Amino acid sequence: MLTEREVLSRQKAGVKLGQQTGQAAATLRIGVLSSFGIEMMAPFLRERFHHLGDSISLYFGPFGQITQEMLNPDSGLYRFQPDLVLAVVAAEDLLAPLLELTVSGGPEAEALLAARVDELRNGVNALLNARPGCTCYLAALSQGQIPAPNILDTVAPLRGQCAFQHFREQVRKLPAGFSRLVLIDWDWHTAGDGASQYHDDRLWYLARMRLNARGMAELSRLLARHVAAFRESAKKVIVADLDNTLWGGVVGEAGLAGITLGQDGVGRAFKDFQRALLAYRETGVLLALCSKNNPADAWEVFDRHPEMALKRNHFAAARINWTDKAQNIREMAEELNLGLDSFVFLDDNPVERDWVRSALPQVAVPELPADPAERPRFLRELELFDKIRLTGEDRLRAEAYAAQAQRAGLRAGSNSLEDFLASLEQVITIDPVDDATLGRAAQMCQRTNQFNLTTRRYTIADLERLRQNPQWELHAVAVRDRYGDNGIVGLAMLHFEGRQAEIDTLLLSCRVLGRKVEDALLSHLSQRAAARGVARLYGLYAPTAKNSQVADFYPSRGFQPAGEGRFAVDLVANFIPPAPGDPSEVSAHA
Amino acid sequence: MRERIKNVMAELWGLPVQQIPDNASPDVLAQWDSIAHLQLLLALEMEFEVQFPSEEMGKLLSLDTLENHLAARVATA
Repeated sequence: MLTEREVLSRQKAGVKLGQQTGQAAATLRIGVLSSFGIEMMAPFLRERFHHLGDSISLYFGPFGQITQEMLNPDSGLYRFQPDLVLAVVAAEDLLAPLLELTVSGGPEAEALLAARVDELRNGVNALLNARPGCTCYLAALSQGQIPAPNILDTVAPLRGQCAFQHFREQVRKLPAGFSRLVLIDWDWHTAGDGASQYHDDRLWYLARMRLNARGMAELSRLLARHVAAFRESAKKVIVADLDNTLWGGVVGEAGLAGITLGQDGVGRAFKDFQRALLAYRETGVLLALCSKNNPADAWEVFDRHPEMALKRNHFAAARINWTDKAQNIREMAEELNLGLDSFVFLDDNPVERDWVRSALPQVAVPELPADPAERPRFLRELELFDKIRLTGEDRLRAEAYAAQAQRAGLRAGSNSLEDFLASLEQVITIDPVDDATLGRAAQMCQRTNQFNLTTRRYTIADLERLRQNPQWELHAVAVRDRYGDNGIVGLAMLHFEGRQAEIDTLLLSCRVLGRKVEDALLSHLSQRAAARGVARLYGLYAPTAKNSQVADFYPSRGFQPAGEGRFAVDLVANFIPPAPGDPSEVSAHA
Repeated sequence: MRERIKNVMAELWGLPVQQIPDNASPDVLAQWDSIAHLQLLLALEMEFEVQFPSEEMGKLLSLDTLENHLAARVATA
């Protein structure tokens, strides 16, 4: 809440701005309609919008005539030609007759309430239709001086507190029908301070004002905040530190069991901090990590600590290293293809904060409170991620970025391939080539160059013929991971001749290289061959200009050179088991 | 006292303090309209840490009356 001094200094700054700027210089025309006297708000509005980079010109409609001004095409509001209309509605004004009732409301009271909300809706509708570029902000105040003292009112239907709640509920639903109506939920935002902080009975009786100077300043602040959100100036990425930020203590020293994180005490504050980050993620904010740590120590916490609300896959980018954090953030901005001005950096260490501030002035660096118990609220109340409404895209954004990161970038942060693969949760499916996959199999034969042992360019007709031949088996491999379905990404062809079999073709798409898919496939082929009584399995390698990366494929997997690009393994003695420690789930079908 | 009041007026209305005459009132100063009057009273309440009674607020319409009122209030405080 603003102190009296802050209120006064904003007022003075606003007065100065009002003197400096003539109407001609205005970048934004704001029409203010209110159910009570509100002209004293002018300097506060000027001061706040100056911070948004706007110089404003103002029109105040006659108080108590909100809908009249909106409905009448000749009203002062329309002559003013506003870009933005602020409508301030106090329930006490709109529902005045209700408050004079001495007995419970009933049908008449309900009808009055519905009629007032309808009037508002019609007014807003007329305004937005008449002025296509105009946005309307509706502030509804229902925490006033009435009926708080009267405890009997709590249960009286549609009277007193009950009527106010009903009004609030209905007004909150209004924006659903309009893309350019934004609700400023005054009661919600000021509940923590209390209505009495924003009201002065003397001003009400002398000037029909339901807000005091602090109230005007607060309403101006809220309007500017909503306008900024409507303009989609929200930050997009939170970069968080680990030790003493996501958990208490230094994991590299205290170890997994020694860090502070959990259900009790300060550990719970760290967990709530993580939850607040997750809540932002659900609104489309991307999460990223930047920590000076050993990657293995850090990732172990994500993978193994039972109290971690945040998991690896929640992050769109990560830098766990001993490099300078500004450099790391710069890299992540490039990786995510987002400007540094959409980044927010959270770190408990004031030295790191200062460094990032000075090296990257575009990055927002909030002053995280020193006490971890104060941080969850601090994070939730940061006004950097305001959004007026969430789109489906917002909800999916973090997932989409995380998928990209997990597949490509996070691998650099994983301390082992096993960790990386485990985090992918990949499922490899191997099935005989069928009508549905024949086209894709032929396409891969034609196009695959790098991970292709023999580069035999079979056509769809060739494959169709071989598929019918009982001496041949054609296996298509599909890979799915937690981030989506990669579809058919590999092909293997087995050619049987008596007690021998030859891997005529083995190829994989670049998309799944380095994920042990080839091992799963080879294991499957050896099992198929063994099942058909094959004693000796041959692998072929035919070098090309592009496939040198697979030159050692068979020798490195226990096959012996057998001359002329052939490698052999004795299946009786050397049954090839599934790749050791392979975390992938493989489902194979003959 | 008089200078402190003038300073509050000058800051609030964005005027050099020399332009606040000793006979300042809504008739003499264009800035001193009804809204500005309330703003002035609220600013003076902060400056002098007093609260004006509602019945007086509409009557304190000159630098002289303001000074007299505030002097009495501050003296008894």
